[in-house]
Amino acid sequence: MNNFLHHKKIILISLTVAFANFWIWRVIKEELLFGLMTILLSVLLILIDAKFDKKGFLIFSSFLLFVSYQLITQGFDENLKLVSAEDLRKLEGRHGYFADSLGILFQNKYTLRSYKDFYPHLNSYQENIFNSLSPNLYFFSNHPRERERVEEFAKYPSILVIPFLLGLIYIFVFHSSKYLIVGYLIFASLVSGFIKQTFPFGPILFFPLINLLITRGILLLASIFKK
Amino acid sequence: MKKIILFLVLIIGIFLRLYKLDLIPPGVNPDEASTGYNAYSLLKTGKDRYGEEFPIAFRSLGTYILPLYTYLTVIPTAFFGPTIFSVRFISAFSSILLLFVTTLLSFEIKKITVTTRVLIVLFLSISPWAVNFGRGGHEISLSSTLFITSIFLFIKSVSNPKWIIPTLLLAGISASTYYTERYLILITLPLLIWMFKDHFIHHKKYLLIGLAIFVISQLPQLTLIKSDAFSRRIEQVNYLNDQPFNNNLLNLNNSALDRAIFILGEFTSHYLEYFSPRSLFFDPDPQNARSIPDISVFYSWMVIPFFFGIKFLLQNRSDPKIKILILLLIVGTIPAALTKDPFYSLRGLSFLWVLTAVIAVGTGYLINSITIKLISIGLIILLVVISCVSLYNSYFILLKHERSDNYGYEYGELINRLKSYYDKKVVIDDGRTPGVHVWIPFYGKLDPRKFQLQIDDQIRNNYYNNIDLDKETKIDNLEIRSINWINDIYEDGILVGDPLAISIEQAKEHKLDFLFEIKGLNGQIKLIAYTTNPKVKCEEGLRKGLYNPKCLDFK
Repeated sequence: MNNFLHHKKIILISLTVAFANFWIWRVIKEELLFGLMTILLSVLLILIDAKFDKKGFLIFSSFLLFVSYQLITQGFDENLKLVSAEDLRKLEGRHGYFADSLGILFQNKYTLRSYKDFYPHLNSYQENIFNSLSPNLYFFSNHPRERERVEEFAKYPSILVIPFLLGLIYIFVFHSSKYLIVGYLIFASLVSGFIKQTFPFGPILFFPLINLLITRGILLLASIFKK
Repeated sequence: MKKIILFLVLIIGIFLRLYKLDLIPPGVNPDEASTGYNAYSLLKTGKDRYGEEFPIAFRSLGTYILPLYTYLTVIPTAFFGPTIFSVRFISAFSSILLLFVTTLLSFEIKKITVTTRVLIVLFLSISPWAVNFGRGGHEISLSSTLFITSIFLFIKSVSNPKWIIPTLLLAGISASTYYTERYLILITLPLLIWMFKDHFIHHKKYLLIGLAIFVISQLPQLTLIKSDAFSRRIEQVNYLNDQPFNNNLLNLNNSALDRAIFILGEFTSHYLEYFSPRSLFFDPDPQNARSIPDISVFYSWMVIPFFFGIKFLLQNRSDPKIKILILLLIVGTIPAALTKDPFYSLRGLSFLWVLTAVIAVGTGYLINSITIKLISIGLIILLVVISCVSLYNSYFILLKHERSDNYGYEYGELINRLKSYYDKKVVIDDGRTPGVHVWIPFYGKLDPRKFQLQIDDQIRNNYYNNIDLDKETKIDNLEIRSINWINDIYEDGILVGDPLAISIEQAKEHKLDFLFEIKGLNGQIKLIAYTTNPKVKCEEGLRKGLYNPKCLDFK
């Protein structure tokens, strides 16, 4: 009974967190179905985290794959296939510097091919990943390092950064199913690498994870105050 | 075997800090030039370039620099002259010293393996931030080395209380070297002493002696407390004053609560930015002058061990030495987060040092979990090779081409070109960068006595309260100031400026003759020199009925 109540409390808090932010309303406003799918994903992650079972995990994983596919289809970053004119100019400018300094080490077909055909795309992919890993993106509209040519928007009230950080520490130190969280973090990062930075929903796959961490943080805060 | 590897790692670190130190970065930035020329001036005259005898803080480019680095730079300047190598020597030496201190400190942390100790020194040797700032003539490299050495001595003092005396002495010296450490020490020291209060309560005598030494070391700086020299830098960079608040976009009212909300929001966002994987592992520092092209303060792959390192620290938080690392991790970035510049890596070197240790600890943790030793060794070698290649490409190749503007490379070239025009008056435009006022004297090794002679009495009599930027510098035939388009074109001489300061249309209109141009290392024209043609200009003026008194000479 206690366990049931505990789970109920977690779900209630997580649902409150899931709706009490600017991000989800922006998604719902743009695309209702996607917003609902994100909420569902968030609730599923909370449930799996609270009580891990194989069947639930399979359902969650399948749904996560489906959402990720939808996301990649809608927000694929074309820079991963094409090199922008600006990047091309930069690459060409640097070609001479590398050729002068490295000689044959640079001017061979393998290096040149990776320099032109591999490096720019890898760089774009990494850029997308690291941009989605910035906590300020979620709590401070990326202030103080706002990106050029990207419309930064508020996702969570800044005050929620406190339970978020507490939740992060809690999961690092005490939590038994931290590998689920780490696994989700890696998966969400890898998928976000494919999504363009101007995508109107932002790195939405992080939404369930941040909700979970905030929920854990709120629970931790509540237990501290209870003592 | 591990001792040999450690020795090799130290050699790599020393090599990366000294290799082509005088050539890369290509020139000196305005702060380095200021330090170098002040050291030269002190050596030759016992005064700084403004004629102040042994200053407590050096007036420089609209602010004041804490003094220790400049005084120490007098030593290499005495041996090598006012060269780029001399300006950077103390910084490189401090950075090398930090490698040795880190080695000793790592042996104090018993919870980590020997492999992890080697990794800490290895990562410190090759980390982009450590190489970049270790090779720049900034006081921060020295102050962070002093600070970390004081932390090492503090750890020693936990077992032998006598060490608290040199700890506090070094902390005091560090606080007089760079502003970040001044505030960092004020936050860290009380916390450290409080953490080990049970230990120090039995050794009050040593603690009190140490504290007395610390206070004495601060007395010279405290004499400036009522002057601009004490507070100017802080006023320039913080967001606690009116201007940042008035510029905020949150439509806050001017009430105490709104101000508190604004400051809290600014502090939290700036503080968190120093922990952001984006700022630490991908994006270079926002300012070109402080960053390396295409490389952040750490390598991208280090993001993974970073998380594991944090996990290790949290799991072993009961160990007193790990506790100290956690404390440094938490407070290390507070002074930097109180300034309005986003992710200003230079202000967080001590914090970056702790992070390097955290990343190494995380890597050690991951390596130890790989059971096949060959794979773990191979993986480390591969990562180190990839890191070194990317550092070489970004720092030793791209930086010199893409960042030469920040180091006044073109003014070094200009001085060489102007040597053959010693008999002509030369006006060098300073319109776009105040750095010209120090680049030219530094690169030209101009006589500091002559520099001091042309200094305004207002500066001389009010040295610690005059924050104006230099407007005019005049030594021998060289004049550094904005070009005066009414008078300079009617005098025989040379005008030098960037293509925006002297456009082709202006050159045509004022009958200037092209003399030479100087290109930056990226191939772009940076400076153009023209000779004036007063006679032709006057004749044209007379034809058009325009009169300039200077034309009387040509009648």
